[in-house]
Amino acid sequence: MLIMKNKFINNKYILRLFWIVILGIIWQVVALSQVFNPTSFPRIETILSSLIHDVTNGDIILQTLYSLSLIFRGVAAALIIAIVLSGLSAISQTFEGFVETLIAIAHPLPGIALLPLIILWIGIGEGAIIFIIIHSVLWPLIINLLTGFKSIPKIYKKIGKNYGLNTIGIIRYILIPAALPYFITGLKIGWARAWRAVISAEMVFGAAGGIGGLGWLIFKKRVFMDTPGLFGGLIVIVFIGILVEDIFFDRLEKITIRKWGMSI
Amino acid sequence: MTSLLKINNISKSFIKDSKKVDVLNKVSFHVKKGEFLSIVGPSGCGKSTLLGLIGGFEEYDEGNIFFKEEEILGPSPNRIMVFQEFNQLFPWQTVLKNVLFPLNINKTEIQLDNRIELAKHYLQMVKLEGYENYYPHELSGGMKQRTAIARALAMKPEILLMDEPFGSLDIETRTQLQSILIELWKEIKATIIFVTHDIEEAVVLSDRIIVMGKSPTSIRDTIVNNLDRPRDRLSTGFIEKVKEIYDKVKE
Repeated sequence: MLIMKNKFINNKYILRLFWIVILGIIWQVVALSQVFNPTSFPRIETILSSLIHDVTNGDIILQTLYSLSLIFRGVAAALIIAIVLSGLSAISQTFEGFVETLIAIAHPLPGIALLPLIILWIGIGEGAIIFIIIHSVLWPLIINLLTGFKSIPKIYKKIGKNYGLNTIGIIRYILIPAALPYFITGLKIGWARAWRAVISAEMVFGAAGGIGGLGWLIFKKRVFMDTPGLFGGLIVIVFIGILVEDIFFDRLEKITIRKWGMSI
Repeated sequence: MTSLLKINNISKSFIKDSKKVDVLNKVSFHVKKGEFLSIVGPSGCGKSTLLGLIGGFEEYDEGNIFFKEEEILGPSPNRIMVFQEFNQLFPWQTVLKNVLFPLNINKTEIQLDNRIELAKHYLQMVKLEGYENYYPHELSGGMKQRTAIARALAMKPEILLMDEPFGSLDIETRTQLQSILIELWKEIKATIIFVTHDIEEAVVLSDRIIVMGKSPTSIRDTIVNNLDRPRDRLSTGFIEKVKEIYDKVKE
């Protein structure tokens, strides 16, 4: 019995589910007690049926895919810029100074703080949201890549040279895999920041770019006082967050750096 | 027999806290093909620096080093170094891939299947069969060093340079690896330069032992070690040899 109990608690996912159920029960009790106005504190079944409705008519799925496609484009662009800038920094110290100055200036700036300027320069379309995503992802990614390249044991490079690798070979076969733990960490931080940034930016820009996205969806729900729909949107945002952070990155780490004993 | 490696009047200094520190001072010796040569001396005497110069990892200030009549200008797969550090294997590759990786770069004329066979063969020689798919972090220190030796030998280097490879191992594992190394050396007729501060280890392994003093160092003495192999650590001859070298180091 004791062993079963321990196993139950040790399983991360079961424990997670257990607490979600408890929180759900507390929510439902509060909602049923009608302490708060039901229009602003709806019951769980109302939220779920609204969510199911939005899913079946495809609206929320379309908005989610749109938000994800924005992130995907932003992250892809940030990835290329980060690799180029950190790669050049690894070669030239002067250039590294330049990149570090850029980081010092840009990294503390929240993407949202740049909004007025972005509207002025780029306008209010998709381009502006992608710009904010790039800004959110780029700096943590570069910081981690730079740390990653610096933390590579010198002995790896010596061995690469000893076994006849040229500079390109050393980068491809040694520096890139050796920096992977830092790369994944940078990507994780970048994703978390991009996901938050995209929701905020969509709320500000609305459907100006075309579809609007998840941020715009929950904003609209509030405007029309569709509180269950608003909570439905929040559930989707949380769900995507968990899916990427706890499942995608967890798996990615399991088949790479944790398998190799390289976790940082 | 001509010398495979000729070291002539090598000097080397480092800059430390804007002061020049001489490490090696006019060191000269030759290494014959097939020879097992050890270099002993107190820590900080410059023996690892000397090995690094032979490996081509650092440049010397004066003198020259000739490998097969050609001056050494940089690292080469002809002269493979095995280090003391356990992290000389790549953690993202399995044991087999670690051994295979240099072959894939340098021996592309051999078919991939045969390269894999070759890697497996050398792993077997260091008694690591069955561990091909392990990752380095799953291995003990001794097994990591054996993998590093297999990786080096699979390249068939003309000289194997070993920088205290067993220095971080417990005494039992160290003794075991010494026997494996001697067997390998005999079987593939390797030329080995082995740096150690363990005099007993030098006497067990080598044909000739170079004794270095405190830096800035030149060679104190070169001692020929003709004891019969396999060597018995408890024999009078062995103990006398150890004492002879110990006295030289202490001088």
